[in-house]
Order: sequence, then structure tokens, then C-alpha cells
Amino acid sequence: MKDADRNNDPLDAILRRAMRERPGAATPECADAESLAAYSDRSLAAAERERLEAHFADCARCQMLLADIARAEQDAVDARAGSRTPWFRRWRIAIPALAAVAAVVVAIAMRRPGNELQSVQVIAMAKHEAPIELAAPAPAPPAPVVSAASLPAAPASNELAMNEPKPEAAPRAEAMSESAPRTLRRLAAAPGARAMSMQAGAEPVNAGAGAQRFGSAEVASGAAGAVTASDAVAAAQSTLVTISPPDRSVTWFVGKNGMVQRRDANGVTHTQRSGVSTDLTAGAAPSAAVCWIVGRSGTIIRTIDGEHWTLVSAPTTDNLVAVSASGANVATVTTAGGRSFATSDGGASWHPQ
Amino acid sequence: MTDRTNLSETPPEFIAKHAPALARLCNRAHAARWSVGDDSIRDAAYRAARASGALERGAIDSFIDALHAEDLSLALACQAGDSAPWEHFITSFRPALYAAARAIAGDDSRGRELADSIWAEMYGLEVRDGRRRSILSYFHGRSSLLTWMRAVLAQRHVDYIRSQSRMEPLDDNLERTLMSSRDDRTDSPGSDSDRARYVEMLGKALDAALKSLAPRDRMRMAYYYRHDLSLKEIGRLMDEHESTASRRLARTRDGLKREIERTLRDGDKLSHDQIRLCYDFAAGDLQLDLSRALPDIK
Repeated sequence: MKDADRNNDPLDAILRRAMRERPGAATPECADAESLAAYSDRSLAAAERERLEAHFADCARCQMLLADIARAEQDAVDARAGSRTPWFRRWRIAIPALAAVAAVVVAIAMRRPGNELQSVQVIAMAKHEAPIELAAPAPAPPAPVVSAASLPAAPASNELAMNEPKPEAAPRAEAMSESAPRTLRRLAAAPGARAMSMQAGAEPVNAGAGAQRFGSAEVASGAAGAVTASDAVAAAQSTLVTISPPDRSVTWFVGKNGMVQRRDANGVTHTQRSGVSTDLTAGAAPSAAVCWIVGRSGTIIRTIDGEHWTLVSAPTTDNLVAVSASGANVATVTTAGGRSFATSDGGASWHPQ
Repeated sequence: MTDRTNLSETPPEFIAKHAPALARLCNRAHAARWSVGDDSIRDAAYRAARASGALERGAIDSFIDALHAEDLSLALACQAGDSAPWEHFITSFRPALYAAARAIAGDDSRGRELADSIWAEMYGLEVRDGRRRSILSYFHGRSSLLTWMRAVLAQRHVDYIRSQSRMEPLDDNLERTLMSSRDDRTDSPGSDSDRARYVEMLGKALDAALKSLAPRDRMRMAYYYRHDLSLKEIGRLMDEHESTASRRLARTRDGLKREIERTLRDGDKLSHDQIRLCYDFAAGDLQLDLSRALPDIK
């Protein structure tokens, strides 16, 4: 059995669901920190080890603690292995990678001379920091700052954008496929990547421009709880993507460190509690009440009332870079590596695509 | 600042009976470096034996020999509040602690928050009876100090997840989704009861099959399916090679499947097609919440 085989059979999916459970409270039988540590260190006598294993086998809490310890230990081992790698071996990987990224940047810059924004976007995407900019249809002349809601021709949601042909994005994806590393090519082909392009194209990457947008809409409103001017500047700097439903009645601004803000129909923007602190990189809103947002480390959050966000159990811990959704229950998420997982039950179960 | 006490709590007979092992422990601890006396080391060894149940189980000498002596003396010195051991502790463990917190929490900011809180608890912000209470007092040297800190981080992280879970109305959402999914199926009367019956049968068969597994096989399955550990991590945790973990996991899973199908075929008298329906319903139907169907899997 391999790590990649986890979902090959209905039984695997059933086992994952059957065993999915939140850790309970500690019981008197649960091992203390030192016993868990001694078990992990293999410092225990055989009898004590067997006694603990009889408990661990049926205790989700102790298993989770041991799993966390194992992850931390493996992380340290990996870090040590990385630091021991001779520099020339690391460079042997780094140089071709840098060359590939540079080739992509040059190819795109030659295709669209004078467009600095586009180069920045490609570099950011290569680092998997803001994959939304992957196929950003940057306008040929430097565009004035406009919000997503003021673009009449733009598709109103990620979902719609996915279904519509986007002739501008195709040539760039082709250019990518000629010279980019496999991960980038996968990313370019990932479903939902194009979906984000509309939003990325509509929203300014430039922080100052973003601040102008916030400033005109929200600071003037002066409503209680609305985002202040300084908040707006900070938010604009950390916004990675905007999301609107088809009717454009609301807009979500999401980005770094779990930031989520919602601009309502009156133009008032409020910060919402996302419940996560990872960078959020993409989203899809089938309606004003339902929105799915994905981010780093397999983060998936969803609202079904437009206000409150809940963490959705994710099918992977990889960075997620795109999502499409057609309702509260149906969504497809895509990892930075190009793998896609779909759910039709609100995230209770996921199936590889 | 030193708030070290000199009152030994170790029974003289314990010291007398295990004198050679305790002497070896003191020798390994290099406690003089931190001005920690042998009495303190012996007391710590006694507390460790008492806390772990080794006093009742016997084999005390081998237990003492297995203690992580240097880490124990460092922890004792840090509890006493001396600056030199604290500086050494910070230099030696701080980067590893933050790296472990990041790995456990899954992101930088939460990891830093987690590590900061543990750091404060280790220094001992709480004062009781005029003495700082450091969580280092719970460290008895049965493991390495670093692994113990990882375990404490993991405990705090799980508690944090539980506290967050309480605040999130996930169950309400699930109920709503369940209701809507039931509403969606009103055009096929009778299908719900069939589904429920098949799912219940499979749930019972799975429950029985899982219970029949050996504890280590159940653990391996849980690490793989519940906690998403890699085979390498499972192997490390189970003290077996990655390929062994892989082979045993595959064998357990295949055995589990055979056992489930045997129960459904021989016990519930289901046909091959009906058994396949059980799998399909259970894998795809939201109405199935196997963790509820299997209350004994905790």
C-alpha cells in the first residue's frame, strides 16, 4: 500500500469517514505527555508499551497526539536532511528551476512588453503564493483601478467564469506549457485556475490602488463596524483575491493570514471571522449566502449564511489554489500540484477527480 | 534566583535498594554543571518511578538506567530558576520548539502562538505558595526533553482544536445539509429505508471487523486513514520499516474487506450485487455517518 493509494477503493473512503472523529476529552486512561513522549522515543519497557498500545488502539485523542509528535519528529528529520545536503546538489536543483522561472518571465514579458504587473504575477505564481494570478487577463494598457463589481463584462462568479471560454488566457497557458516546470503546467491546467483569473484581473495587486478603492467605498460610509481607512490599507495589502456571486450583490475580499472581509450591497465592508490563520488563495460564491474559500495547507472554509464561516474537512494538506462551487454542498478544489477533489455533500466526503 | 528545596522526599530504602543504579544516573546527569545536587536527581528518579507506576511493576534498576539523565538535570536546574541553565535551555531547544510547533499547528502564526504559550508555561508564570510553577516539573526524564515538549505542544494543540470545534456549529450545518439531502430525494420514495438498511449492515460488519483486529493493526489503520500520516511516519511511530508498515497495512485492509464481505454474505445473506450496493451507499451517501454508527471507535 502506498501513500497515494488512500482513495482507490470505496472501502478506503468508508474507512476514512468511519474513523473521522474529533478528538475527545482526556480520560483517566489517556497517557500523559511524558508517557506519550517515552512511547515515541521507544524508551518504554515492552510490557508498558503493550499496555499503552491497547489504549492507543481505540483512543482518537492519544492517536492524534502521537500523530502530531510523529509529524514534528519527521519535520525535524527532513530539516536535518535538507541542511546536510551539499550546496552543489541543492544548486543542481535550484539552477534549472530558477532558469525555468526566468524563461517563463522573459517569454511573457516579450509577449506583452511594458506590462510589469504581468511579470510580477507570474513570479508570484511560481512561488505558489498567489496562484490566482496564474492566468490573469491583464488589460493591454495600464488599467484604471476598478472593483470587480464595476466590470460589467466580467463573469459574476468563479463558477461562471470556469464555464465560459476565455480566449485571452489560453495563449498564456500555452506559453507556460513550453518552458515551465511540471508543477506550473499542472497549475495552468488546473480546473478553477482560469476561474480565478477574472477576479485577479479585476482587482489591483497594487496596495495603494487597493487602498483607494476601499477608501472611496467604505470610509465615506462611516458605518459602525465598517472598515476604517487604515484597516483598508492593511486589507488591500493582504488581499489576494475577491469573490462575488453571480448577482454581484456582495463581494468578499480574502487573503493573507485568514483575512476575510465582506462588502455588502450597501457598500459597507466588514471583517469576518474566518477561524483560520493560513493564507487564503481562492474562492467561489454561487450565491450571496454561500461561499467556499480555499488556502494553504489544505484549508477549506465555507459559509452558508454569508456571515459565519466553518472549517470544512479537507481531502489533503497540500496548498489549495482553486475552487469552483455550484452550491452549499457541491464544490471542487484543486491543489498546487494540479490534483482535484470534488464533494457533493458539503465536504463530508471528497473524491479525487 | 534559586528556589531549590533541600528536603528529600525519597524513602531511604529506595535509595539503599537501588544505590548502584542511582549512582549511575547521577554520574550520567552531569548535574554539577548546573549546581544540581545528587539528592535532587535521586528525588526526581523516585518521582519518575512513582508517577509511571514502575514502583509497582518492578524492574526499577532498568527503569532508572533508561532515564534521560542529562535532560532531567537540565529540567531540574531550569525549574530552580538559575540563569545559566535557562540560557542553555533557550539556546538548545528554542529553535526546535518553534519548528515542532509549526509542524504540529500546520502554519507559522498559529505555531508561533502555540510555542510562545508553552515557553511561558515552562518558565512558570503561575506562582503558587510563593514558588513559580513550571510545567517542567512534570518532566521526569522518561523521554528526551525535546520529545516531551513536542508531546506538550501536541496536547495544547488538540485542546485548541477542541475549543475551536465547540465554537463552530458544524453539527447544525450537518443537520441542515442532511435535511436538504433528504428533501432532494423525496422523488424516490422508499430509497431512504433501503439505503439506511444497507448502510447499517455495512456499519455493523465494519465495526465487528475493526474490533477483531489486533491493537497494533487498528493503530496502523487509524494513523493511515484517520490521521493521514505518511507510511514513513507510521513506520517511525510503530518502530517498523516503512515497507513493513505498508505491507501490514495492505494485509489488514484486505483482511478487513474479506471479513466485512463474509459477514454480509453469510450473516446478512446479501448477494454480490447487494454487497456492492452497501459499499456504494456507504461511500457516497451523506446520510451515513459511520462515526455515529460505530460509537465504540473512539
